[in-house]
Amino acid sequence: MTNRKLCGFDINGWRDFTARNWRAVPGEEEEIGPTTIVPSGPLSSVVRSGDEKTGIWIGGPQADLAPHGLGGGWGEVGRQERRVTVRALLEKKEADLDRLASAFKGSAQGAAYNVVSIDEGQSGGEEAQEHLLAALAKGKFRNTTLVWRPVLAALHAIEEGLVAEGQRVGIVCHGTAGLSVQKLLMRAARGVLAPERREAALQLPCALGYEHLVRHAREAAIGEAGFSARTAHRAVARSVARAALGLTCRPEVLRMQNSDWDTLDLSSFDVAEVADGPQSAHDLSDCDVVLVETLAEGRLKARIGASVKSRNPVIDLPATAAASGALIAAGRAARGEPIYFDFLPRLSTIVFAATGPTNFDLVRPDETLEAGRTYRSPEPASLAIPAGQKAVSVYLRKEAAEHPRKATVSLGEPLKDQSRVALWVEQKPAAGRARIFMEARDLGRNFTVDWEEAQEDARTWSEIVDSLTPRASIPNRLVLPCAGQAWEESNRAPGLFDLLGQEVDLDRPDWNALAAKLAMRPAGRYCISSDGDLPPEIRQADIERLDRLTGKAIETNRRRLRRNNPDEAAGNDALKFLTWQFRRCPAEVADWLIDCIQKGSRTHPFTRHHASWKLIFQGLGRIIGDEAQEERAVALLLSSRIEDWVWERESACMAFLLSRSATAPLLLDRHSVERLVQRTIADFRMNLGTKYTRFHYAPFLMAGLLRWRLKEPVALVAGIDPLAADLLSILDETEKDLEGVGDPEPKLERRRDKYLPILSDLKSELVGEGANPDLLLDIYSAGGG
Amino acid sequence: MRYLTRPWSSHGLQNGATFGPEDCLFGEREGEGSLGQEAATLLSAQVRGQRRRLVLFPYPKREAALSPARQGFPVRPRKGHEPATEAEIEGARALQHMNEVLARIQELEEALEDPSNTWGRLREAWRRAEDEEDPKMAEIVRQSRHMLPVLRDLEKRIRRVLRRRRELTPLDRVQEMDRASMVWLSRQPGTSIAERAGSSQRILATVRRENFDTLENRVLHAYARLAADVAREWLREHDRAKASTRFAQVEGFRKSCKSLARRLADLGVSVAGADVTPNYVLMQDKSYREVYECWQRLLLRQRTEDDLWAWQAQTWTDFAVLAIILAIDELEEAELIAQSPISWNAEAELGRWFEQDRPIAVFWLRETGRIVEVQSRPELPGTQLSLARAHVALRVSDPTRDELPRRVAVWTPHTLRRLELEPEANEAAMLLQQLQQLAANEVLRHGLIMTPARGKAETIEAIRGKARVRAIALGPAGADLAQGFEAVRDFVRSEIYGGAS
Repeated sequence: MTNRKLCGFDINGWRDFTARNWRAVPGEEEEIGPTTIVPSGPLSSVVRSGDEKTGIWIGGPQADLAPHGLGGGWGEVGRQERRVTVRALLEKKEADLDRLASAFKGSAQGAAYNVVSIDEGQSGGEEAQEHLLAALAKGKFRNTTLVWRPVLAALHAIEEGLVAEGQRVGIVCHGTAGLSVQKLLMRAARGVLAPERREAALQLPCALGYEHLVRHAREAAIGEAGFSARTAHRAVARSVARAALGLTCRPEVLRMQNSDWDTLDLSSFDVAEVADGPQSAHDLSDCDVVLVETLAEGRLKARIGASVKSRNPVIDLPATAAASGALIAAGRAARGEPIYFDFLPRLSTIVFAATGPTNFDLVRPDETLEAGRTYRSPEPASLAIPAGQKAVSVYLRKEAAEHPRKATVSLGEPLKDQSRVALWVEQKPAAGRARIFMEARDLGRNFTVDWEEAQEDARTWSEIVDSLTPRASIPNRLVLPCAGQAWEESNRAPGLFDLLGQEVDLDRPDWNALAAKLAMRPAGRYCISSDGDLPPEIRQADIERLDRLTGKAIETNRRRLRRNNPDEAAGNDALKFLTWQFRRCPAEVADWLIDCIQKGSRTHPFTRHHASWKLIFQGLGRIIGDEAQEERAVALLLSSRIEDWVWERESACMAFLLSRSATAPLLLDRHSVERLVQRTIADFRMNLGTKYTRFHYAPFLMAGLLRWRLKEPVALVAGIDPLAADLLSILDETEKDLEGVGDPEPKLERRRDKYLPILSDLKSELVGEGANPDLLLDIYSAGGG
Repeated sequence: MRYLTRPWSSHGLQNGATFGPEDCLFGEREGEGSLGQEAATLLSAQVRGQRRRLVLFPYPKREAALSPARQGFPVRPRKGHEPATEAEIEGARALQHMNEVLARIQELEEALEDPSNTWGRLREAWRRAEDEEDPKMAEIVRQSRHMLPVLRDLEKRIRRVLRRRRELTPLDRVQEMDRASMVWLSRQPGTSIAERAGSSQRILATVRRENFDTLENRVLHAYARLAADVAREWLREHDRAKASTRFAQVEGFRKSCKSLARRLADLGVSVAGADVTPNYVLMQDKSYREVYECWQRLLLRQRTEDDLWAWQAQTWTDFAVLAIILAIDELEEAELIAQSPISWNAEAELGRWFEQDRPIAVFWLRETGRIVEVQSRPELPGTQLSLARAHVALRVSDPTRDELPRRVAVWTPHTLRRLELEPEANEAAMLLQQLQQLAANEVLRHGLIMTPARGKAETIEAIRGKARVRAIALGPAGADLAQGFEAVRDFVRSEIYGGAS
């Protein structure tokens, strides 16, 4: 290795060590090679030296000796503001980066590679990492890398030859709030042994934590009198921290507030007696080697080793292990060797797949990465942003964070078209927060997603995923009800009972009158329901009469088809009578009609007159009930040129099929839906600026299409399906057109009043929040049918 | 303002008299208001309800200066000149003394690299400084080792540029002409070019000539000359180390610098001024960059030398304080309980290299049960100390408060010619004796005078009644340092272990 200065910092605020590979001899040249360890603390701090204006913060061993901030007995320099503990700086209680930087500068400066230890757990979170890195940058430290404390301990053990390749090493680290346990796998990489970290350390909070120990020692130093102005100087004595870590204590003289001297002797205080370990010994017997890393000495150190279960005797590392491990890591960084392998905290978002919203891992689990390398999501999450949106919202979940968050990225200007954005993360192990990027290629821009600014969501991740599952409403199947009342005689016309009685025995029944009766809908009720059911109160005799008439009608039509019907005057009346029986109509009729449509010629007996096509199509839509026939009919309709459809023929037939059948919508595929949507839009557009006389089947078809959601639950939902946006815009146009008519004639006004609520219902259906399940019935009724 | 030639002397400078090289340049002022003169305040205290200030005046840069009138001072030798006259030799000696004091102080900066063991490391460095045959590290020594290969490399590839200039060129050599040469040609008499070329058959044309006078070479030239001068000064100051490898190394470096400077002068390279803005080559070419950086470092030293020379007395005080701290720290039972952090300045300000809050150092003598505090330029000196005009002091107190705290006045008089210790010690003891009559809550009976030995280390003690003053002449290197430091050590021990008498 060339002569590069390397430095490993273990600045933890309890007992700091800095290991470096050079030594400056006053009056001689600097010597690079031998390891020098500069201790500082225990309970190190930084002090402000100099006056208000020109003063600077100084840390490291010089601050340990400084009288600054030790109380009024020392005069002006004793003011409390002149001293801040490194713990407070590390815990971010003090935002000033200069002070934290001075804690590092006080121990060593000028190395080409610096490695800094960082605790696992709460105090080593991503924010803490960034804070530390920012302070190091402020202190002009070059090539800084943060490395986890247990990893440094393992590096020290590797250097000492305590562990071998393939071994699983358990490391017990003594920390602020207790102990933490990490298991590392020793892995050979590029000629060196490097630890691999697969999960966050397990935290075992207990009274052995440094914080507790210092509190106990401080209480012992202050004595029974309690904290007061008279004992304040004892609380800041150096002996307190020494005693807390089990180091040998000699009597210490302290300056009191009144400048007198006081002697403190904590040599008889044994911290090991007052602190309890974890309640049960943690089992580490699956590890080949167990190392104990602590800054404490003496009996306390033994206590920590005893607090875990292990196969082999635990190995106590020296207090300087983390610092010397950091120096080893700095050497590896200088030579380009791997320091360690780390996993990355999982980061996920939600994407909308075909099956609905699903979790998407931006950082894959089980991925480990060499320290210092940048991880980039192998595959970005892809999100579709509907047109008109000004901002994109993304849900993010981090492994370490308690709650998921919802980040909103402003796009600046609303999107003109629906576009696709890609979301990915970049992260380095132990180098602060993941950076989340969003790329909107259509806008030609990249955005940064800020986790900190994102709003916290108290729900769990699965709850959020669930809540995003679009519960797009589906309009209920249209069933036109029947009622006995429709059979009764009314003021204006005879009832069906009478008609059946009159006509049943005639050779030539009045098909027209019968059909008209069946098509009548007093109080919204037909004689026969659209499913072909009869009102329950109908007597068997009447049913038989109806059946006989039906048989006659079939016979009549058969004859017509055979072209030996002498009486053509009746025309399609018998057929009409049949089709108004809805699904009660014999299946044979549907086949006739389909054949007729397929033939499409004027020579067909049913279609002598071109106005008969309406009956053929709509009749087919009314009677069809058999699945095989449905399939045939749908295929037949879709095989025609959809652009040439006539509103009251093909469109109406398709609308009937989709709205009344439970199975017909399932026959559509994406392509045919797209075509039908275009047809629907064309049907709407045809009416714009007119009196809306040819409008009725357009909303019907649209509502019928929504029933395709039976097959694709999130189809035609705004924000997910781009087709929905097209439909919404034509609805808006129609609404505007209807409302824009200044002084409508009474008929148009009536239509307008009927259609406007339907349009708004359709809109909410498109958004996926339909509130009117009987929308189809309402549309049917609006048409006056 | 009263001008005082000695801090303990109550007789000021007589009217019309001037400060001379045997004098300390002190002044004492009572009352508020600005001094109106260039001076550094050493002590400021309320004495009998009135503000009293002890100030120090700088040494003049030349032989004499006014306000206050100073005359007959030795002058530093000019750069690049061997001292010839008596005055110049004296000046050179004073400069060497100053450099050695600075070296001791600067060793503190290096000792601070390991702040947990500052004093041990400094003591070790000072111990090595006692051996003059093994010269200490200095900037020029460092550069002589580091820069020699760099200069060798540059010598082989001195950067050159091709510059266009107009010259009378034989017709057959003309390759390019510019506007001015055409204008010239058009003005020549004759009808054809051959006629216009005249009898010498030459016309004005642009030619390209190699040129070495670039900024980076001018800097290289300036560096070579400066480094040779600094090296010679160092060699002169370390003539006792002729046998050492460092001496030989610096000597060799000086020679190659000289030859390089000569070669550059031959190539027509001028010398860069100190204020040049570095160009691309000086910043990006590795060797040239190193030359530029080293040159800047030497220049910085040159620049601050005036200031350091003027305020030598301040630097001397810091040196004396360090000596006392080292002597106390050496005691087995001494434990340093408080020491304000030392922050190093990039440049000396008024002769002071580092900043430090008070207290400078507080020791606890475990077995003896005493607290010893070293004070320098104290903020609140108290009446006694301020009347004694001692801006350094030791305070020995008993943490149990059984005994009155004792103070030891330390005077660090710096003069450009050696002081006669005996009369001075007597006079200082007399002052202390007079001060005994003052009622105070501290005992001030003992005093210490630390003054430059200038080749003759010496210790003398004067006793007047209960007052006792020890005068030590010590030096910053060699035997003067060894003997002087031993005397300080001796004084500290006697003061601590026998001081109660």
